[in-house]
Amino acid sequence: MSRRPAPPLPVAARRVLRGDRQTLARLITQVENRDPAALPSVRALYPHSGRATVVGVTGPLGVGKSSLLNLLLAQLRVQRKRVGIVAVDPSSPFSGGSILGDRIRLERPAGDDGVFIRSMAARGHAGGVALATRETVRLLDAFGMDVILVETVGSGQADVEIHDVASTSIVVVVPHLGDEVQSLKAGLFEIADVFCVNKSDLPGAESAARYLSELTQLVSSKEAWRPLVIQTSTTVPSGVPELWDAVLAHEAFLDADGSRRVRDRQRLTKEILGLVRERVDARLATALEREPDLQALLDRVVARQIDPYMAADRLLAEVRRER
Amino acid sequence: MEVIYAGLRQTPEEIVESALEEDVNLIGLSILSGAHMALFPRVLALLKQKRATRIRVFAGGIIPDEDAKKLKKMGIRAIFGPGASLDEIVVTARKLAGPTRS
Repeated sequence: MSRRPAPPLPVAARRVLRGDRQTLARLITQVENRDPAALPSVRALYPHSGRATVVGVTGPLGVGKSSLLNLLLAQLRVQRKRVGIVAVDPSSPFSGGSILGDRIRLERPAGDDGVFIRSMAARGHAGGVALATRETVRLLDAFGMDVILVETVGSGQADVEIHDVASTSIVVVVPHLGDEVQSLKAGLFEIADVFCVNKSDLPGAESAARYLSELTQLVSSKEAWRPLVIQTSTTVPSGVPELWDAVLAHEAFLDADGSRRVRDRQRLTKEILGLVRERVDARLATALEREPDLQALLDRVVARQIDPYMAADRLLAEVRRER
Repeated sequence: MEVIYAGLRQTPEEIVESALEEDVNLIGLSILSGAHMALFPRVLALLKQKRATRIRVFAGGIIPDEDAKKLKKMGIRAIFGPGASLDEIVVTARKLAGPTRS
């Protein structure tokens, strides 16, 4: 049995592999818009991904994530790592639009080909940032980035998903007004592989770090990874090398105890289910269009002639019908 | 519509690089320093050099009419002075950005 020759790469995929930044940018736009035109290239690039270290940086507004990213970026560039940054911002639920302010604080020398920064809005798509961000990260990975930093605002559902994108998640807090406690409430405690107590020049940094450290001891089992707590400051830069060391320590742990494989499989499972859901939703939308009697169906439900379950069965039958 | 605020005091190189990475439809330049005759053409030239003239450019700031005329000839699509209404700017931006992509 002879192996079938691999099909030729789509043009856009070939260009991305050759380092064409504009094609990469265009593909990301298509991925964001869930444009099926991107699919052939996205799929063709999949085998070229899986090499980058993907790190999530998350935490409430105003804790200095962007300044921290600037410093991390600078350090990684000194180490000659190629770095992709994806800054995810929540869309306004009212206008559907978004003002993505992150660019203002992300600085780097112009003309540095080893950096690609992209902002994304967490538009209303089900699954929040998950699908589009994951695919964007993968495109940057295939593009040849060694490290991909994904920044999210710690304000709810979307952030917990950072865990589905990044292999190491840094949760950034500041030592003030019990913010660390607020973060725990927001569900950030569970996703942290590394805690970063930023603005360590502020009073209370020491005790906040100690508090977090004690908490991680309480919740982590003996064999599991115990989140490291690192203090950083961006005004007088300090702690950033230690922060990156902590990331690398976690990455090494993932390899050593085999949990990387387990986590990768969990992530891919979620992603595949997400794609299935996306397709079912699309089909449901077409089924709804095709069901001319939707209003009539509704009337009958309202009139208590049939129940909502029966109406759902009817729609489901439409979804099952092949297009 | 999504607006990406690129921040103050960006060089033409940084502006064009950001615009390309973000795959934008439209660049808005704001300038008060008087250096528009030097910086705006540089942005246009860089876009041309990168074969990205699909990205349109409009501007606002303190720009004398005479300069505005020259800049428009060079390819700046619209220029707003002090006192321009937000409505006018939004309508122009919408028109220049073209049909929505999503």
